[in-house]
Amino acid sequence: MQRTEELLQLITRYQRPLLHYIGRQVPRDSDAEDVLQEVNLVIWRRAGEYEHGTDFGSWVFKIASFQIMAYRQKLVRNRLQFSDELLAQLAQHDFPGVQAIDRRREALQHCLEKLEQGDLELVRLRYEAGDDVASLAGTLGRSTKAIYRSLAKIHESLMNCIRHRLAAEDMA
Amino acid sequence: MSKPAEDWTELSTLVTQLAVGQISDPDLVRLEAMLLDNPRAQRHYCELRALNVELFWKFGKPLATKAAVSSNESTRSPSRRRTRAIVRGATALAVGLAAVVLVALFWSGNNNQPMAPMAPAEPAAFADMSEVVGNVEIFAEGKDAKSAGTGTKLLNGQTVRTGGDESSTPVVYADGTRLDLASATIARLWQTLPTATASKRVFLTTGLMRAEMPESTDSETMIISTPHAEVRLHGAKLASSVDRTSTYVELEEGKAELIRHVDGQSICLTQGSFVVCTDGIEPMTAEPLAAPAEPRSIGKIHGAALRYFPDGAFLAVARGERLEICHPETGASLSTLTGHEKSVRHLVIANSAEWLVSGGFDPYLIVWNLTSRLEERRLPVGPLGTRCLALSGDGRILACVPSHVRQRGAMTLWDLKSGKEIHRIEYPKAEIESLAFSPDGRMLAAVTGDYRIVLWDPFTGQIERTLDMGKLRAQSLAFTRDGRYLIGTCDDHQIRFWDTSRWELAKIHPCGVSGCGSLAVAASGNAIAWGLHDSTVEVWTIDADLQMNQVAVLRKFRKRGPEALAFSPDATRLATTRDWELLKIWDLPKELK
Repeated sequence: MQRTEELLQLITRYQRPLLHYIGRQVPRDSDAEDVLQEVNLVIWRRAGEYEHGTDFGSWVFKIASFQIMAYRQKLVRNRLQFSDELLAQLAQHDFPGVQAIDRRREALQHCLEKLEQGDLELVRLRYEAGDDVASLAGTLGRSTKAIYRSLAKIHESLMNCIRHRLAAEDMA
Repeated sequence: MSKPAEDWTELSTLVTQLAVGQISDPDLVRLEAMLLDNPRAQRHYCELRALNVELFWKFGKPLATKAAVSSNESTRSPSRRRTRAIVRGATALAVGLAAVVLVALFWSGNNNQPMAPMAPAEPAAFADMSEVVGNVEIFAEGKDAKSAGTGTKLLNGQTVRTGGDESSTPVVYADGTRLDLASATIARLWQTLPTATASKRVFLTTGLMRAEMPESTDSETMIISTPHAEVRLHGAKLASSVDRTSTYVELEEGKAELIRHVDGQSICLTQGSFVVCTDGIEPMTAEPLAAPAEPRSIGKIHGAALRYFPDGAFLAVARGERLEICHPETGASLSTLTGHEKSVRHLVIANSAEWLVSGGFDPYLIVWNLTSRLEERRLPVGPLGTRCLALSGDGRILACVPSHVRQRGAMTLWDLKSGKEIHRIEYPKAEIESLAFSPDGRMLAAVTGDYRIVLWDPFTGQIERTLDMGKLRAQSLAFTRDGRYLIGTCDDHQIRFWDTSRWELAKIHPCGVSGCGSLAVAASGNAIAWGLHDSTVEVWTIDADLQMNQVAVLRKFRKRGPEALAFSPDATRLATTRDWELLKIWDLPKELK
């Protein structure tokens, strides 16, 4: 029982980093979440292979790599996707550790508070609506193109804010 | 940051479109071109994705966390998540309007019969949820969802939402009427006063529901409203599935009438028939249902690919990095071929039963001698392994498409007996995705990423013909056994048949509301089967003039239809499997013999 609880805690702790890791290579949100769920299932099924005290992160990211590979292989027939060459290049960029992800999250929270109310509402609706941007556009009475454009500007603004915030923290 | 901000805005726009799955192929290619060999853009992309994940986590509340913590078996489908997200968004936006909309919906559906009084103002339980399996939630407009368990009582106007995979619940009314909600289903339930003509109403937003009214209530009507139609039941047993584009209704017993929203066309369903209703205005017709079948046996393994031996003596199943040679009727594993280091995804068997070729994530194919059950040779395919594989009917020529590095196609043809490479074919326009040899081995058909089907002469390696698909993409290909027709499952949920003598489209056949992917043609030539994306396999007879009759509907699949289908050589059985879906062997109707 204790081991089960420990494993649950570890899985829970690594959900966000895993989604970051998967999200970089699986660019569609709903697919990334599906892959994450597959990874969770594999972790659970293979829990017996994990040795207590060893690097859990390394183990789960390895599982995630295989699941991403399997996902891409399944996708091959149905959908155009990023080339393996580009993914290999993207993989060369440093992946932030758990602490860096937490820092960015805190900075994001701060930056969201600075957003104008309308922009914050758009962000909230976009992520609540998932991939149904067309419905969102209909609800707001705007074109989907305009929604994408607005979201892009908000994303850029948030990223600039996060960068400045992190840089200021580093300077302090 | 030296780049102008608008450059990143464009990148950011494309990344957002990609994230929601709404990017066109040309835009995806444009995005790839922006990123490839551009470390600054790549860094920006990585940051954008990280931001997206954090926002998704914060506002979209990914369900995986809950699934991981609460159940090791609970996964949820994208459609369910999408619908949940829509419902959540709509709830947040329109708490105040929801009741008004609901009442309007209710009365608009009842406009050709006396208005039934609404339920009493005080909420009262009118039905029980018994035998809840997996994740099931109930909620009322403007309120948070609550987990439901066996025995939960439903109040008027509440919505039931089932989770993915194997989640389900029955809803049983006091008069014995029973609704079975399958996984990934959302249904809002109303009951008016019992004196009303139609006292039960269900708004089925998405998913699959079976309704069974007791015989004693056959004078009463139940109304099922979907986004596309209204269905009125009279003492009926009925199943209905709803997705974004259509409503499917099949009637097992009793009477039902379907009225299409878009033009008011109505159709009466008789016992043992089904109808598909979309937002289009094409005439609706009721088709007869085939009797659902039960698997003859369920094996203890699952796999990515399977093939019967040509003499029907064994069934080969690709299971992880191993090949299991199984009993053809029970699916029990009799022996195992080992040699691959990574998962096997494809296998083909020569009609002579001399060779079996397997490939997957390994950078090589293995040719197995089926007499000795030993590895005969390995053929190199490239570092990323095999994308698709085909073998000519006489077993002489093996064609293999390696997993691609970029969006361009390449294919290698070998003489299987000698292991010598015959041709290396380049298709620079797009990737190659699926292969099929004509029965005489003189034609090799392939689906290509530029919306074409390309036909090569395997002996010369030259392109003989291309079929332009417009904006359609084919998924799986097969030839009829007499070679007269090439069959392709397409992403518009239809199957196309091309006459190979004139290379003209000879027939288009619908394949269910969810669309179909996998495809198998019996060696006897008189049967065809396809796997639907809604956990169903359909088996049809087919004659030389493409007259088709449905003879079996196979269900009992967990989430989606199987990726791998194979007829036994005498067409008396069909084997099915996919990743995480156990091997099942089905007896087929005798008319297929």
